[in-house]
Amino acid sequence: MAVVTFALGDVEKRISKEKFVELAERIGMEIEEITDKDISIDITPNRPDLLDYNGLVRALSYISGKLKPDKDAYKLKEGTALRIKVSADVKKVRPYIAAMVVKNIDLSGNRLKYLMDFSEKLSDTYGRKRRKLALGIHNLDRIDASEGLVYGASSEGRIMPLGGTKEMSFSEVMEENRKGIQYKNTIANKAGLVPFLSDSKNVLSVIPMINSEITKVTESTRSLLVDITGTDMKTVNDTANIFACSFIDMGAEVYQCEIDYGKGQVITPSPEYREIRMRLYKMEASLGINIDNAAAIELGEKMGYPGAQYGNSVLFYVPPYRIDVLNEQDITEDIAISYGYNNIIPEPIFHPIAPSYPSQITKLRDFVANVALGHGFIEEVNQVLTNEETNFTSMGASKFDKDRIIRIAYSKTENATMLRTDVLPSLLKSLSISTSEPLPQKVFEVGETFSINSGRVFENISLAMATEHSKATFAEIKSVAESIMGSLGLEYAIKEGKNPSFIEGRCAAIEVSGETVGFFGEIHPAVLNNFKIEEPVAALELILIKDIKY
Amino acid sequence: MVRAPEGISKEESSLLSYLKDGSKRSMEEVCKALGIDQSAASSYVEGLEKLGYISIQRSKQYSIKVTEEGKEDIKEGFPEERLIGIIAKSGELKISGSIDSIALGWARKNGWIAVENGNLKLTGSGKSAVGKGYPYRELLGRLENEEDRLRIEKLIREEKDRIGELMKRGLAEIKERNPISSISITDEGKKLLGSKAEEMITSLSRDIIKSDIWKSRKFKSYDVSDPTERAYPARMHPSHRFFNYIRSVFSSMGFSEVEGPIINNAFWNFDALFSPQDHPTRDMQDTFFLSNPKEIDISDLGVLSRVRRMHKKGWNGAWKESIAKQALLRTHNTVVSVKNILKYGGLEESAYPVKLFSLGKVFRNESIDYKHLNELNQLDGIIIGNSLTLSNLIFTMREFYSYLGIDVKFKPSYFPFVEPGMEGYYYNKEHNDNIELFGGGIIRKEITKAMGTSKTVLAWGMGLDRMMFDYVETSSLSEIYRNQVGWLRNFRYKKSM
Repeated sequence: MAVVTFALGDVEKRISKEKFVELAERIGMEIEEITDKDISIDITPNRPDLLDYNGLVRALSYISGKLKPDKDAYKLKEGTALRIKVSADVKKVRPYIAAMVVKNIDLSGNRLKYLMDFSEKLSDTYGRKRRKLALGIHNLDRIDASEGLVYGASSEGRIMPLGGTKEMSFSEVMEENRKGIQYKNTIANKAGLVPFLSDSKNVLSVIPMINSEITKVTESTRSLLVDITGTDMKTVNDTANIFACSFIDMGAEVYQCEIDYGKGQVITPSPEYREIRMRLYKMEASLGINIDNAAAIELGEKMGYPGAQYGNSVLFYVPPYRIDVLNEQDITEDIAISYGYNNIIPEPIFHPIAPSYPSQITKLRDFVANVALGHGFIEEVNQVLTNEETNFTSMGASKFDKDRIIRIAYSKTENATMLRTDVLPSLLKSLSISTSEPLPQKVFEVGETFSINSGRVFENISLAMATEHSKATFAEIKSVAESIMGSLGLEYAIKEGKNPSFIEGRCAAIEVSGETVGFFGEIHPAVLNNFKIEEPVAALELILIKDIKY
Repeated sequence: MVRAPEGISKEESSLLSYLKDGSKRSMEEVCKALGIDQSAASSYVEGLEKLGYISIQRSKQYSIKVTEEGKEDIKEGFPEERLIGIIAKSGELKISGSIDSIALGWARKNGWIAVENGNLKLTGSGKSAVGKGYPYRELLGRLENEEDRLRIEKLIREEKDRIGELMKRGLAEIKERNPISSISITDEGKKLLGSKAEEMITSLSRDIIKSDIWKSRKFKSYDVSDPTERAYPARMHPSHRFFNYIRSVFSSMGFSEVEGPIINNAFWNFDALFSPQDHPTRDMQDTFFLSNPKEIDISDLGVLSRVRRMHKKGWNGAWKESIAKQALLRTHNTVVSVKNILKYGGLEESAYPVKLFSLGKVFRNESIDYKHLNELNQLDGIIIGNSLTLSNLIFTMREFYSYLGIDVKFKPSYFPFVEPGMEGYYYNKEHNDNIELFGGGIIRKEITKAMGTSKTVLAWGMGLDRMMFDYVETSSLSEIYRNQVGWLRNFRYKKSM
């Protein structure tokens, strides 16, 4: 999601603040904040065209019915304005470019700011922080286009960066300039090639980092050269079309440019309406509404699609800036939006009566929790994200096999580095923050535990129980353990156990079919010290389901 | 507080009779007169005082008590005694950090040891002290034996000083006692004597129940306002209880519960749901990727090739299997839903609609505060069937939320795996704001096709943790999962469920 901000004064010239909020929400955008001066709106990532002030105003004018869509709206001026030659070197690092020339543009008031914001936000989101796509906007009058421009790449070159006072080499830009430092990693390559755009005299931009001071655009600039570069040709050309529409909506003239890729020429931009044929019965079947062709065309117009009847179906013309529209499903959604989700009459689904089932895990969890509650233990639900310190070291397990635990690659909080292998450390942690509470304290949890063996992941359901008071003993927890095993209906054996968390000689292992499934006993004082627990604790850890089969 | 006269026992009645002339009596006299021991007498006397029938006069006495540590030292010898014992055996002892500093200090103070070339040696008086009686230990022993009889006031000066040192060392402590000095009857007591003393039942026993005693005697009554020890219930965790409630609502609407793994590869969590491989949510900043295992293989090759085709066509270009294999903790339960579309997409016609939900943990790499956790709980639901509509989804969601007493509204929203996409919200008066409830829509045809079905799938997902604020009194989400025992014992529910 990206948030764009517009001056309330500009909005209110066309439409009341209240109406703006209502219409924006109707097309699925959320108002982030309204202050005395500004209005901020959250744009969903499928609609990059709405990051633009002109685009948003256009969409709101359609939905309110003020504006009727016209499939001849986005006409370009005749002729190509200039030619850009793409060098062989740049094809290795950032192969695609689209460009247009804009004349008679008015950038006064907030218009320049909105244009720059749009370009910035679009490069950041749709352009994946300029890696996939970036824009350069130049003052055309300062460009010597007599011999065409070059989109090239080189390890050497010089530019007078925007806002700077002296020329810098490309490498200086990447080491010293703020934008250079921020974006240099987007084009990192072994050969050290840096993409650039130049006219016959100067480097106009170091891409995708910074433009030249020479072609700086101000509010009084009347002619622009806009370049769009990136790693994917469709993205680059689509973006050029969005911008062309925006400029035309601003009342400017847009001219095409010829991109010479060596092997072939591409003319950009080419903002053309695409046709999508809609079968109404399909749309009705998907939304659960009844509409006729005329109503469908009217609903489409409110979303900016000119429409026409075509036999039994409707042809919708998709505007060039709607790059998110792939097929019928997308138009169907826009028709639903136009219709109003809250106007759709809710319809029940009819089907034969059939039983519904809880999951096996839910059944087991509830069953075991009931037995544990019956023994007077309070239920806990802890996080499964933990760290080695809590899971192993504090539990007296100074040595553990790192290859046997599920480890997190990167976490924003340092206490989450792995998934727990046992539940008991979580319980001891909770007892350690509860020392001021009256004893006895008895707690349990049924929850997920994890491990991995030779690349195979194990997700288990485990039970842990702990009882803390001055007379907590092996005998107490043994009685509980046997009761749990008995209620699960399992044939089990109790053997002498060895586990560093428990006092040696006061620890038992629970075996089912010869396999150890759990331990219980008296917690070792060293472990109690680690958790700052001052009274004896007897505890149990038991795997209920090993390796859940989903 | 004066109780009804019938509230006393036979023994208490004899005690009152003994005191009836109004004179003050000592405890010794009471014991002797009634032929009972001190502890029984105390309980009758204190009981009667509470009822207001007698009054007690107390004196203040101080005695000295030996602490647990002191008792050990009496048995084992003082540390300084043990130290000179060790030196005496070996002749000398190298000074090191392992020597008890208290032992060292006292042995020096007593003039028992001297230092020579970094070694400890015994002095003359040290040698003669070995194995001899140590005045401090003897005094402490006396204190232990005479505990209650020994009065500070009667000690000689030197002994008082020594006791001071013992207390400083934590081996002895002063105990204040308030023994009963005399007892006398009150006017209430005299009145009571006038009425006939009865034999009463104090505690009920097997013998009393089986015999007929309870028919002829009255029960001694209790002061119901007397404080008792607090009892704490064993309770279910509020999240477990709340999630079961949500489960029961979906179950009542005909949905079965399914489960799926927490650890997945990006293929199921993202790629199968049409999320482009360069999408920002697939960043380390938002998702918990794993370093062990780093990758999980995509086992279903048919699905793999169909998903690859879906991406190449839909996102026009590169799709890498290596990116899809990255192991991660699921970021939403939609991963369970999409696996079930594959599993339940090709049943017999009569089996549809299939209605499923999954409820479990999802993970986000977030910085944690009172509102944000990195481990959350989500419910995801799907309905698989023929001719299902957005209107059916709206109906289902409206029914669910109306059960919870929430008036849900719908608006368009965007999720890469649904088209049309919607969001449910309600207006919250308290916050004067719209609160998001769920996101959902109709699963994109590209996805159902990749999962090998021609059925329509309605899907939605909802976060459950914040919903708990309406049901459980708490200041923060993290409090609910912190499991402080006091909180678990005492938290309150705001609404029934």
